[in-house]
Parts: sequence; structure tokens; C-alpha cells
Amino acid sequence: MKTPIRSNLMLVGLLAASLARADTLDGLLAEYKSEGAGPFDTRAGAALWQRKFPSADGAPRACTSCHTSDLTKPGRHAGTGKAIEPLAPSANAKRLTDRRQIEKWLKRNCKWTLGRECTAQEKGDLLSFLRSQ
Amino acid sequence: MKKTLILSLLASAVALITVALVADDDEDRYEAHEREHYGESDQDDDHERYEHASGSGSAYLSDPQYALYKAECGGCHMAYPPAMLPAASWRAMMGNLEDHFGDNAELDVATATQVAGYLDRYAAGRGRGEYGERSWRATQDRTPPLRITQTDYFIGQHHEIPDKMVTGNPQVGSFSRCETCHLGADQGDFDEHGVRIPGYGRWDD
Repeated sequence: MKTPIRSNLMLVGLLAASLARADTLDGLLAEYKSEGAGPFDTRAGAALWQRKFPSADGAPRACTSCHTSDLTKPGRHAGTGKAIEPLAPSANAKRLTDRRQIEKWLKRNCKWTLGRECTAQEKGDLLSFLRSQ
Repeated sequence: MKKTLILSLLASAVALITVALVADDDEDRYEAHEREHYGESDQDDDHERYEHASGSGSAYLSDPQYALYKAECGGCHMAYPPAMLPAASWRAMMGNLEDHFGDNAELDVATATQVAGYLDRYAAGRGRGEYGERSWRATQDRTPPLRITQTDYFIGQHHEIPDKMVTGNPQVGSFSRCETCHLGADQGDFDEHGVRIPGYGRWDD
């Protein structure tokens, strides 16, 4: 009884999410460009994703510390061990659809990983990489 | 032609969503009823639920701000019952989210204010819950503890548990991961009968 409704709902949901994602990301990338950044490079984003940064506690930090290299798989919070849902939109349609969430996590996680906020260029490269996953 | 097809697809999608939402709503109501019932049958038990002055067990879970708290704080760790720390502890913590036990947990001002207000409402000592009372008494006249695991009450409840079952247990790792052993932790249920330590099973002291 529920299955056809659920699967139809899922399709509509996926469509809505991908529209919201395109909207949100295009808006953010345009803002970064207006700050003088761009063009954005998926490969630069991929490299930044893997890059290890030194930290005060001695253990190098990277995006992959928590999210791993396979973005279609769940990650694991390096400190608390809590599961993190996949970041790849192909595996998790909700991802990159909410501007507030994107900005909040970029700010927090750039500070944790790089020890500073990311530049507009870095954020644009990262988002370009992430949306392609 | 194409336009008509898209329009009719959209219309049927809206109809389907409506049906599905109504069905889900019924389900939610049913679950809420079940929870209520379960809560009532527990009242005479010595279960350590985190009661609030309202009298209903686990009131922090039914507060409209719980969803926000769970989303913002529960994104990285369990959404701990606010009664596990006194208000002064939560205030100190919310004032230093930039260095949150080594992690950056910054929130925008509006969100931080809402979360801080929520934590304050259900902090230890705000209600008459047994745990909250004891936790509150134990922390008066001291620097507010920032870690739940450093409160006397927590230590008293856990000191007999060998390290190998928690910090040395790869499936647990830390005493701060309540939910790995307390299977009802998400529902505010920390009764020891609901404890299953991964790799070790039940805990009876």
C-alpha cells in the first residue's frame, strides 16, 4: 500500500532536492565570484579534500579524517565516533541543499581542518568538487 | 503537448504527497500515543528518566526546541539530556563553542541563543527529576563541570565498569558515547536494565 506512494514521493523529493541544490550552490558560487574568486576547479577541490594539515595535537587533519575518501559512504566523527551521513549528493539527496547548513559546516570544518576559515576560492572549489560526487 | 504532460505529472505528484503526508501524520500520532502510554506505565518504576517540573518524564524531548537542539548539537554527538549538567555549565559551554573540547562548534547568534535557552529550561535543578536534583546538588559551590563524565553523579554510576569495556572497547571508545551501551539513551532512558555493552552484553552490578 505504502510502497508506490513512498517511491513516487521519493522521486518527487529527489527532483525537488536537486533543484534546490542547483539553486543554492549557484547562488553561493556567484557570491564567491563577486568577492573576486573563480573560476572554480573541481580538481582543486578534490586535492584540497585530501590535503593534510598539521594540527596542535600532532595528528594531521584532512576533510577525509571524518568524511573518508569515498563520499558515497558514511563517515565517522574523528572525536566522538558518531556516524556522519554520506556527503555525496548522489548517495544523499539532502546534501548541499540548505545554504545555512553549508555555510555553518564550511566555517566550522575549515577552522578545524585548516586552522583558519577557507577563502572564497577554496570554498568554491570544494563545493564544485562535492556537487560532482 | 510536453507542457501538459509535465503539468499533469506535477498535479499527480502533489496529490500523492498529500496522501503520503496524511498517512505519515496518522503514524506519528500513533507513535506519540504509544510513547505516552509507555511513559505512564513506567511512572512507579525507579527508572531514571529525566523528569521536569511539568511531571511528564523526559519533558526535554517534547519541547518544540528539541528538534533544533538535536539537529545542532546531535549532529556530532548524542543530544544529551540537558538535566545532566547544571545551567551554569551549559552557559559556560555555550559561551565557548569555538573551542568545544577541541572541536569548532560555532553557531550563528540566533541559533545559539535558542539552544542556550532550551538547555537552561531543562538543566539540572530546574525540575524535580531525581537525577537533576542530585546532579545539581553535587555541583553547587564549585566550578561548573563542562563534561558530564566529570560530574560526581556520573562517576558514581560508572566507576565499577572496567576500562576494557568502554575506553578499550573499539565499539564504544568513550564514556561520552552513552548511546552505544544505553539503548534507550535517545529517549532519555538510562536505566541499567537497558544497558547492553557491545561485546559484553548486560551489565548487572
